[in-house]
Amino acid sequence: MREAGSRKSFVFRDHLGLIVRKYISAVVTVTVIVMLSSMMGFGEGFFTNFIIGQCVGTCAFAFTFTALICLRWKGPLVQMTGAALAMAAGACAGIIFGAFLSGKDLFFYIPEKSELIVQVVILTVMGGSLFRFILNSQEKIRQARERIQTEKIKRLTIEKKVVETNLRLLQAQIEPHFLFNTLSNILSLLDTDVDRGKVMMNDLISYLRLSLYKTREEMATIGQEMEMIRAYLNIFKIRMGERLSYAIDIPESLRGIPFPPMLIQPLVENAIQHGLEPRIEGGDISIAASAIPGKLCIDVADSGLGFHEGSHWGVGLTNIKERLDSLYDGKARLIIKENRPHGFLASIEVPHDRD
Amino acid sequence: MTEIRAIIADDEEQLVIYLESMLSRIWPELVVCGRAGNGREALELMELESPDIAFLDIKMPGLTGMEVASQCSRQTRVVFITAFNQYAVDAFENEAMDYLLKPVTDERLSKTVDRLKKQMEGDTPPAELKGVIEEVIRAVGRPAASSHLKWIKALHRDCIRLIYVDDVLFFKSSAKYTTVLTVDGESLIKKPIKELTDELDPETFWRIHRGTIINAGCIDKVSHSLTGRLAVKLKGSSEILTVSRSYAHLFKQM
Repeated sequence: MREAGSRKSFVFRDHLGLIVRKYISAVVTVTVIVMLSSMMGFGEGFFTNFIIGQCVGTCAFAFTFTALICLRWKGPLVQMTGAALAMAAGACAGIIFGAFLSGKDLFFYIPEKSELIVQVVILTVMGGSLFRFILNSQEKIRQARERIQTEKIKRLTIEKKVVETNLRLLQAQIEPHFLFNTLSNILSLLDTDVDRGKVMMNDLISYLRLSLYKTREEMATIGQEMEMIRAYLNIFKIRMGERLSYAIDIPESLRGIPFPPMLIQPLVENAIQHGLEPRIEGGDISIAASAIPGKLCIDVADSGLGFHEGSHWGVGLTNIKERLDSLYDGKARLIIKENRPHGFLASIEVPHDRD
Repeated sequence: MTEIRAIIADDEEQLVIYLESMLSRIWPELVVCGRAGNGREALELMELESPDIAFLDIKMPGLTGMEVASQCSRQTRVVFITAFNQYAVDAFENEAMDYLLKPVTDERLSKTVDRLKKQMEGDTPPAELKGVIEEVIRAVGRPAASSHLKWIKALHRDCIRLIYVDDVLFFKSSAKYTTVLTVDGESLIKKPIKELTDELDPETFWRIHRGTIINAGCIDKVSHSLTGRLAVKLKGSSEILTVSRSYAHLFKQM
């Protein structure tokens, strides 16, 4: 993340290697060009040609470099035109500077050699552009490789996260505290109220069957998830007695919609564990689902303790949030609000095309 | 011999009934003189009845069984009941304390009963539990795995909301509050920037200014201003945030 941030800014030092490479190639090209032109009729000695060549190369490079820095936020077409113009201007300036350095009388020299100068300028722009193109392609290839590498790392990180969450999920559904408390209740009911004991046993069986099988699948339906949650809440209804009441309101039309398993249940578990169980008076839970264009919302509201210190409610929520992010690639949301007058209102929003 | 009196406290009524029926089988002479459904009731009952024995569920609303035992001024022998997993049970392996695991079995309860009977016949005074309990609470109530702040309680419009920390684009201090910006807009929290800096994961959250912390995962562009100052633009926000010189090192390539 740190690298991504700084690559966008222009830090001279980071680009030093590239700049040196570009500069050397520019000077070599232009020297070759000027040498070629000299054979065609500059008619001067090697020394003058060499000086002019160096100057043209350096100036063309410096001008282009400056232009590209100034145009660094612009589109590629503007950059290309700008670079070409800067190269031409740089070449002209280089010839004048080079001629001056080799002790020519500029007033006479320039008009005399005007045709050649035009040739040199054109060749410089062509050669320079070609080199720029080649170097840029190399740079692009390098960047592409780097991107592939980053993508690979990202993919592996995501895969690792998925495995971790799945493991946590498996651990979560057979939470020992829940299981042993429920079994204690069933044992007790076998002595005092066999029929209710049977009902509770059946609810435990449905809950375990649905949660254990469904977690291994990619998708369940909202209807199946609600069946599981109903069994779960029935168990707590017996355990907590009068202290718990619940309502599940799912429109018939939404029951068949596919939904990832064990995503709503942790919200319900959270509501009971951190909201209602620790509250002396208990309270109620209501679960509702609704669809609006493009979105499917599941709300779990409770009238429990709500936000309070010294509770670990955040752990469960973090798991849900991370799973939502990886399942829906960041397009799903988990919204946790305060329920009035007390308690939590948790909503899951996932993208949904209704057809 | 005077009668021995006990109370049972568990927030799940069925479990109170069950334990009572088990006790009546295993220890018929014991008189259960009170039942409580939460920690506060349990404490009141203990003060009022001054029972010889208290069976206390650990996880109860109001007060936990541990809190009840350590706050009670009476001399009562306490047996804790818990559905905790094995790891937590290790904390209870202590001479002074007795505990029963849920579901309670006849065999295990008999052992506890024998031990209680022996203590009472030998006239051993109930163990002083306060110190032991504090130790256990410390061992069991260990901090969550991640010590960095994950959820932020913030005021969003008129409503309190929990914001997942990775959804935050940046924090900015204003007069009395700290503004939290997410794609949903602004929320307010009371915690000052300085305190937040210590609590947030420094890998993701960079303090770039005395009054600004940004989510580095959301950086869109970093640019130089004409004076050489760095300025950051974040994805999903149009605001340009300046980086003060003392934090510019964060943006040097590592």
